[in-house]
Amino acid sequence: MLQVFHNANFKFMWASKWYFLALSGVALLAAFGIIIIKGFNYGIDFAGGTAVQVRFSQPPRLDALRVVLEGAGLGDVTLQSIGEAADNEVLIRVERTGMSEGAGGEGGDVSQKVLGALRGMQDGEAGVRDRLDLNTVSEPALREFLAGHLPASPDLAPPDAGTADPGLAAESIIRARNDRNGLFTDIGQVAGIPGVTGPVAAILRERATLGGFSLRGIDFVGPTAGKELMRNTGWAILGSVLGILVYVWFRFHRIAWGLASIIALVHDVTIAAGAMALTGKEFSLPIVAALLTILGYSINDTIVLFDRIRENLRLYRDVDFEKVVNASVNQTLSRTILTSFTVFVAVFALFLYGGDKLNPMSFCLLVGLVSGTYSTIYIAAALLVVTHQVLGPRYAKA
Amino acid sequence: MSFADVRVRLAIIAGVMALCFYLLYPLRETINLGLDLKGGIHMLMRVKTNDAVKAELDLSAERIRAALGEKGLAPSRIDLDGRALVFAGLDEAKTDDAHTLLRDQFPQFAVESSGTGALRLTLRPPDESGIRDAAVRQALETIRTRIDKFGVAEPTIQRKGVGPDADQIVVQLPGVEDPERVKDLIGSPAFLEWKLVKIPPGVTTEQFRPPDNPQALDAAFGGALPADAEALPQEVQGDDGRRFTLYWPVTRSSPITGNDLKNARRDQDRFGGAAVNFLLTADAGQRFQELTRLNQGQLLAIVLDRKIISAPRINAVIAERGIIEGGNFTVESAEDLALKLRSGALPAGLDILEERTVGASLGADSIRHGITASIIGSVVVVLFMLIYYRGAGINTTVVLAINILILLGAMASLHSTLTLPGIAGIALTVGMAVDANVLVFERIREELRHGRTVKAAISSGFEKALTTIIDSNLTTLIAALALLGFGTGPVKGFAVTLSIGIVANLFTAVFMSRTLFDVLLNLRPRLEKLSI
Repeated sequence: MLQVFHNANFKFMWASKWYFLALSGVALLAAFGIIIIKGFNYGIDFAGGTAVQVRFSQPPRLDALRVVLEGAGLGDVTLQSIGEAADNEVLIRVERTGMSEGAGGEGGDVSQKVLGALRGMQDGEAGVRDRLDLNTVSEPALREFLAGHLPASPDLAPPDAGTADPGLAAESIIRARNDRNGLFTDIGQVAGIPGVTGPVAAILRERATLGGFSLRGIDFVGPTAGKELMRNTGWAILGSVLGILVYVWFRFHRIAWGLASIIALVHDVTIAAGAMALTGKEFSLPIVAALLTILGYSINDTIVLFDRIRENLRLYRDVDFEKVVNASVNQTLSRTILTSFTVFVAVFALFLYGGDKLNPMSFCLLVGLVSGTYSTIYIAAALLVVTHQVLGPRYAKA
Repeated sequence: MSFADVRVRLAIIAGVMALCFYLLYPLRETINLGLDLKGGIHMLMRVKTNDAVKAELDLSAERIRAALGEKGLAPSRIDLDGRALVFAGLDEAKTDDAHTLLRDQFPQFAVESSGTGALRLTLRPPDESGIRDAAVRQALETIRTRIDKFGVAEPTIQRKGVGPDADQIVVQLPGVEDPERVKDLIGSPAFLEWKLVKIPPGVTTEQFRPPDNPQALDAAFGGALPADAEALPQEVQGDDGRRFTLYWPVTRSSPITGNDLKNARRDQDRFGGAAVNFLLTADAGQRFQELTRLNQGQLLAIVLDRKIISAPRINAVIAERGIIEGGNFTVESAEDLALKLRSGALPAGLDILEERTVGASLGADSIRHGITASIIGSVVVVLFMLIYYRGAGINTTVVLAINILILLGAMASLHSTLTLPGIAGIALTVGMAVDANVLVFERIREELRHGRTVKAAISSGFEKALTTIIDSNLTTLIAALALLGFGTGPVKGFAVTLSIGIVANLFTAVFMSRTLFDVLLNLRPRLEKLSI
């Protein structure tokens, strides 16, 4: 039988609890300090503004791009390469411009300006203007374009040329484009797609072009929406902390137990948030989800231990409180390590293979998991013992 | 535990699994992918209801002026002061009469006297919110019509919030990737007007060329435009590709507007260029006929959202049918204009508060990454459980697979949306679901160490772990539900998978896992050593 610990009997409490409580206090203060001094790298969700993600067919020159964008009156523009170098992918971020509310939108047209400027870069090439760009056109627009240019009556076309169904052709072209990561590089690629018949290919050769970039995504959050998201975040965290406090209090009948677990929670969430500030990873909406999950996970771990402490307190009424707590920690240690390990593995896979979008979220979760496991023993359990020693059994016994 | 009892429980499990398979078939149609996975546009807009209130005040001002005029009580001035109308210069002796008349005929206004010979009218709050409510509803209808005709599969167009003061509209268009066109399509009011061009004195219609700045236009009229005329811009592109603006003097009043349209379609002009033809209502057709008959040889400006499209010469009498041309239309822009005209004008402008566009290629990438990561995570977790708990690890593997099946089946039946963070939630559920198994298995091991029989150890292991499992799952659920209440879009998807996963876990880890052990005990009643 494989076992992590064989009759584990470590001394978690007694003197070492004071060292670790001190360490936790220092870590907590450090995390607060980093958050206050360095601050978060807020994403569009909270900071507001516009982010446009584009993939170029050629490696983009960021300095030239910046000149073009700033020339379009977009003010301060942040450019960031994302993914691997071969992806030619750039995130263009424009801070909130001075546009006032009510004056033609809060700034929803910033993304339009960015795309216009990018398009302007390639308009220099002869004959590109006024042609349909197959790398940015959407399916309904392409279908309409084909319907508008295909010969009106299909019975005029020779029967074996294949019926030119604009809907079908548009669908297969867009699907093929997605399979190529959103970019065609040669018009011949389009002609070769199954479903693109002779007449369709002819129209596209004549009237369409392949732009040098494809739009991967746009995020625009105006000041109003940003404020609302911030407010909701606060409520969600407050709501779940209160809910958990009430539940633990109700379950264990002593507010000290509830408070001990809440202090451990605050520690875990602060450490995870501090790690976000320290590494400068983007703080966006999914991070809020991660922080709330850390809350849930950390309390889960604490409750498993508290359940065991309560059970043991009933079994061994005459044994010293601190000894019971320490024994309980040892008894649940295998389970704690095993569960933390499996959750860690699952999240670590997300961290490594989940892509750019899931990376900050899984990083935050990883830090929270480690902290949550640690805090169950060295904060929640340790604080119970401290309460028992300082205030007496009336407050600590369940 | 009798075998009959185990059979009942196995039947329940089989039933649940069959139900989930049924709910999930076919997978492509039953699991609803979020916009972040399948690509598309999400927009949150606010209807500028202040516009609608102001338009209503403008309209009321004219009607009140007419009503007062009929009784010989006409005010000399009407001013718009914030959201109030101020009527000044009334005959002092008759102010009371005017007051009474307004109170009787225009009950939507609260009337108060404001100095001598002046009355101040404010919209009553219920009437004002009624106007705002109507504007939002009409905007919703207009946007819906425009989107429907744009041909998007399964669009979402909803008012956000409840009550007359909810002024936000959410639009979600799966599979659409050109936000510029969508914004133009749903964002522009599309208010069409026909206005006669006022030719400055001393110039013939043939000689008149609109200047490229409003000052020159004022000068042409000897300093200022006549009171019943206004200057409107036309954006033109010269032969050299340069863009510039011309200013036309047109009448303030519009004899015919977009409200008079019965239909509009994309068409071709004489030279084969794109244009839009229109059909007026019978009543407006008569007015149009009258207008064109009386103003032969003059210029008639076609104005869209306060900008001039073109100003053709009236050469013939036109009735119901006509064409809008010369606006540098492309096939697409002519199609879009016809569509907007058919769907009617927006009652008020729109502010875009939030916009998210996800390209389908990016969505496909996200699916790939999310699924790869989840599979790798699950495989490692399962391998670990098999190595660590050996025989009992098989129990975990089966239970875990059924857990994910139930999770997906529940999502299908609740029509909830799977997002990228939602996939992360599933991966996390896998890691956490194992926790309940670990709790039970560790307890069983403890009991076996204390010398209990296999049967007694299993029974007491499950019993002792039960409260802990329920406690720990409930607290995680509290956090997940808080997130569910607050979350929007993708994050909500995370809360959904996590919450359902937790509930499914309670069922699988307690009920199913136990049943599997009981099956083992029934098959081998004399089992002395448990592989755990």
